Amino acid sequence: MTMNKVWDKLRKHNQANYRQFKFCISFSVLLISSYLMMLFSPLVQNTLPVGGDSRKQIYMIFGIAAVGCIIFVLYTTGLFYRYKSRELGVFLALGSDKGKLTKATLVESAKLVMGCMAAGIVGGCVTALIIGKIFEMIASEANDNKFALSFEGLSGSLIYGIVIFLLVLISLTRSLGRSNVLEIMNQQRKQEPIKNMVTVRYLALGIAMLIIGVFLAAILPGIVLRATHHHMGIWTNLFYLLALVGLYRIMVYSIASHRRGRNPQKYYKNVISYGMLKFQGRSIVRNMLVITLLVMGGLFAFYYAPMSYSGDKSDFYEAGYHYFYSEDTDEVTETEVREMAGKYGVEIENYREGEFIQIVGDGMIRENFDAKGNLIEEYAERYAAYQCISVSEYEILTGEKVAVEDGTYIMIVSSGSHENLYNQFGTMEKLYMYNSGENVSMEYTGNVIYESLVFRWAFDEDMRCIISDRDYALLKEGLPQEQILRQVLFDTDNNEASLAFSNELYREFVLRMSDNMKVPGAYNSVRHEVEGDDYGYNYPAVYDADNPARETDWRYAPNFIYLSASNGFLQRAVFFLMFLYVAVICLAAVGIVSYTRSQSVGLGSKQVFDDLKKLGANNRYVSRLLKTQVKKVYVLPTAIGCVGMFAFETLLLHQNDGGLDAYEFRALGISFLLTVAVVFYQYLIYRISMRRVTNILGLSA
Amino acid sequence: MLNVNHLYKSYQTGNTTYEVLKDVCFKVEEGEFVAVMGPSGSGKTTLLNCISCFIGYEKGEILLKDMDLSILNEKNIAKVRNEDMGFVFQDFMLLDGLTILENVCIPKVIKAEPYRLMEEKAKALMNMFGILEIADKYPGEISGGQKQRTAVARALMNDPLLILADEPTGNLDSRSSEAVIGAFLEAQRELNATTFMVTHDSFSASYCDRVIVMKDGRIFKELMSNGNHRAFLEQLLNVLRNLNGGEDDDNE
Repeated sequence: MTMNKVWDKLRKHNQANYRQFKFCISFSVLLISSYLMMLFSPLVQNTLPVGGDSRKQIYMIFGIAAVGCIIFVLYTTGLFYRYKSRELGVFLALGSDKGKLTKATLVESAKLVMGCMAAGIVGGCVTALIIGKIFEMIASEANDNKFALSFEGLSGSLIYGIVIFLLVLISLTRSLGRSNVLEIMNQQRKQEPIKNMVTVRYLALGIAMLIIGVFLAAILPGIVLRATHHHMGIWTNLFYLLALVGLYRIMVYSIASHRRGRNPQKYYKNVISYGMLKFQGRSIVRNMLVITLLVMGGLFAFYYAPMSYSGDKSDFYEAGYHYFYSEDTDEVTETEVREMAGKYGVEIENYREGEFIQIVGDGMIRENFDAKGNLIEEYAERYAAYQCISVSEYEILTGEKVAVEDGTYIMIVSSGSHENLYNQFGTMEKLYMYNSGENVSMEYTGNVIYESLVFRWAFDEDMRCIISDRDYALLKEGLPQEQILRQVLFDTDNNEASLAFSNELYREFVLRMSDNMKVPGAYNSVRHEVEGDDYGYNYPAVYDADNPARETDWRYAPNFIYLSASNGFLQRAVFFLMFLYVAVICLAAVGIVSYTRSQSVGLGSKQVFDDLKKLGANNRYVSRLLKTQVKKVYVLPTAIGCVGMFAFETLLLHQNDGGLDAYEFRALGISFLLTVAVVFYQYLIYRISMRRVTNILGLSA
Repeated sequence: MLNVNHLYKSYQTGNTTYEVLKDVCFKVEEGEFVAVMGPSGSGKTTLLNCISCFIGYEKGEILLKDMDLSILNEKNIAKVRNEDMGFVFQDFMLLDGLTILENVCIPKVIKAEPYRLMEEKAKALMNMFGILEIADKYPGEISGGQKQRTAVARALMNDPLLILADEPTGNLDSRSSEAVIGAFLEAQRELNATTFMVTHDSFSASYCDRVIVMKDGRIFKELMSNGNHRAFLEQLLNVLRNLNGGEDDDNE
């Protein structure tokens, strides 16, 4: 019998602990590795816009998941060491050389973690490859990018694995460094009590830190930006750390502070449970915090779909088909539209056409910040070619009467149009007559909502306005054909063939447009004229006549709701799937962390439960205690995670433009349902955990 | 109070059967303080575990105030343990997260009794055993003797018919042991408590009214004290010496 054989035998005896340790480390590396592989694949990298919000959000959630997994790994390591410590203590007590013992333990652990790392990374690659290829297939109609494992993804996974490896070894070295044999032997039974009795002041400070942290990180920058036009910078995100500390204090309080107080009877009813929780101390709080963060990360990712659809107005459009083209184009006429529809058995309803003119006017450029973070507001004499319609023409198109005085204008906006720092109503103050170049002073008098006539964002160079018939006639004088736009609105009888009809109409529209219509969405002809070759949007429009599903970058893109409904998902499939994947990863981690913790809570309490049984507690009583212990792992973190994230999302939507519109309310409704689904998921994991631990403790009878 | 009649208990290991208790019979009267002694393997802890209903037995009967414990289901056994028995263990079994006062209250907490009476009773017992001043401390902050006196107070919370003590002084120094035995005697004097104690400690046992000495699963001898603690200790040591064939053993 050699020491190695003894180690082997002990390892076999403690197989369950080894299995749990290996599973948790491998799983953490697998999650992060697959995340990185997906994130750095060409499919995702080439799809997510550089510097865009979606990219930032994905990185942010990655940060949460990575930190959560690291805390979880450290917890698992601590748990593993607790099992090992008794063996080590016995060896030490029997005269084993501490240096040799430490070395042997570290070498064994290093081998284990390296194996887990390799398994995790390989598992991560395989998972990402399978999921990535599925993404690619789903999105292929609208996205040419391919999924592939990348060097960046692999390096990131390796770095993460090495970080985990080092952290585990450092943590073990610290634990093994203890000189006292008894301390090492008793490690298995050692609890991590929260030493100082936490007070109401401790809680109040925690709540204050949470509120102040969120306020300083999420609300204050918006207020400062609106009030002073000063961008405070990304450093304000550091205040989220303050919120995190506040959250930690709230959780510590929930575990540690139970007093006899005004309801002693209730206190005594739960006193055993309180005592048990208090003695699990910091480790349960750390776990609760990780679960909270991961629930928040998962929900944030889940919310992406409804939030991005908050801009989808298809339910609110007054006309199912709306598009415009310049008059110099030989575009599809009403007769041709009706003939084409007839071919598919589709009936055109409520067809109407109207005329807009594109007139150059002044405006304010608000795009960049100076070195100090202040918004640069630059007045431009010639800012954009605004799309104007006369009062009479507007009435023909919409059937709505509006009153517009000469020299004034009304903006056509959507119900979701709100002013913010960049977008403000009525910034245009004059329009230029085409022939003479003289200007006509224009005064902004208000807005009218007509979703199907809103052009892109409705502000600045995208502004459409209604002017008086006299001003319209004056400004139209001498205007070339390409500056006169024909707006078409109609509906169909909601026939099944409407989709096929829409596809053909889309194709025809693309094939027949003039060259001046082949410009990208953000193209501003006036800025192009002023800035010359430096102008950034001077590139060809992106569209595909044969594939309306392909995401476009095209100023004249027609809007057919049958196509949007059918292709909307495909166009953003990679975004949705990536966020869905992230959400699933976070929730899988939540499930594993909650399950593992509840098992160790249950099993760690076995001795106490046995003692209580000897003191006369029956199975029902002990089961109730167990339930309280396990519930603590789930209820508060899930509640804080869900309520916190939902509130945060509402706040973000509100911060966008200082209000919530109908689309945003709809998005919040869907988000709420997703939140309920996450709560249900947690409940399910709780039930599974309870059943398992009840069986192990023999309390099921 | 306690009647043990013709009790048999054995363990099966592979094909071998080990008889641990063989035809054990004795009685414990109300208000009596009885100790069980004997060398390791004599069956004294098994006997205590049978009486506590922690383990079953093959033959015989155990009656606690004429109640046959072997026919009770899990729920009723728990009720008996909570209300009719009080336990004191060698390793105290206090809950680390609770204060001393709260630990003493546990039997009544399990019973969900009103808190006022519970606290009054706990404080009275703690006062009796000299641990009232540590009421707000946690088990980690007090000595072994104080822990065991806390356990004795806890055992008495529901006025049990019988206190079962398993090596209550086994983890204590002589001074603490005396204090714990003092607590049992105080309980006997003031509350007419009946105590059945398994011990290796002759000195502690010498304070009892009666000592049952066991050997190889049977009762070897029963010794009655005449009230003279010194003389009873001498008598006890002599019996234990004879039991070991004239050798002193670890029972001292």
